Amino acid sequence: MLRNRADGGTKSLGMARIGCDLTDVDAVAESINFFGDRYLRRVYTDTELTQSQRTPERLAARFAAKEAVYKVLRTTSGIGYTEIEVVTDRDGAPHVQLSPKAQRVADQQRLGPIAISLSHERGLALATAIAFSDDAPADEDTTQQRGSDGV
Amino acid sequence: MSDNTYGDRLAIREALQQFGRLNQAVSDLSDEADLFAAGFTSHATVNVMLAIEDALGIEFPDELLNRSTFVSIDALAHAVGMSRGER
Repeated sequence: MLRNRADGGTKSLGMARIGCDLTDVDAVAESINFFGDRYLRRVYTDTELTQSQRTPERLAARFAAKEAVYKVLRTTSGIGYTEIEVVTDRDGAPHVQLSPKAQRVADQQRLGPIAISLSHERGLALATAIAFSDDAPADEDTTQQRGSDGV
Repeated sequence: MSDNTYGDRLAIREALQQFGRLNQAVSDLSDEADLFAAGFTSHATVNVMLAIEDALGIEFPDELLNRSTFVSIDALAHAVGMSRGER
């Protein structure tokens, strides 16, 4: 994967990692009804509970996002649900914030920032997460290669 | 099989029956059966975990929150023992 640079060259972004997950909104509502705060506190951060207003649709989307991020990280071991936080900015766009432990796992795999997208409709919540692994040389410059190839 | 292990497996089966949302009866599953192949979802693992914690008075540490912990009744029983510091 290549990213265009201002000088006309390109920089390698490494391999893309994509994760997605689907969560049943009714299942989240049932969990809230049965386990209440124990469920909410085990899975969601204070910020997530505040920003979602504890509505099952929004919580289901956040749960799906956490699972999608696990897939990008390619592990769940040792990383609790609250260590992957989904926060929304003023425009309502969601962002991922990792705990120091989860960030170390991402760093060990040379992963860049993780972007996410959330949606929910008709009882299902969907999330997709994507990140690029910086496996290629950090400042790979393909300008000269393009020139020497006469392209 | 010790009494403790028997009781653990009973509690695990009850939690799975009530919260597992499996596509078949838990009584039809062996202790080694793959629960995800039986329809177990990642969200249902949370409910089953909380139900087991309630029933047995334990708490699963974050280190055990991974797919392999929930893959079978055997694996869950092992995780219960780990949570007690038995294994």
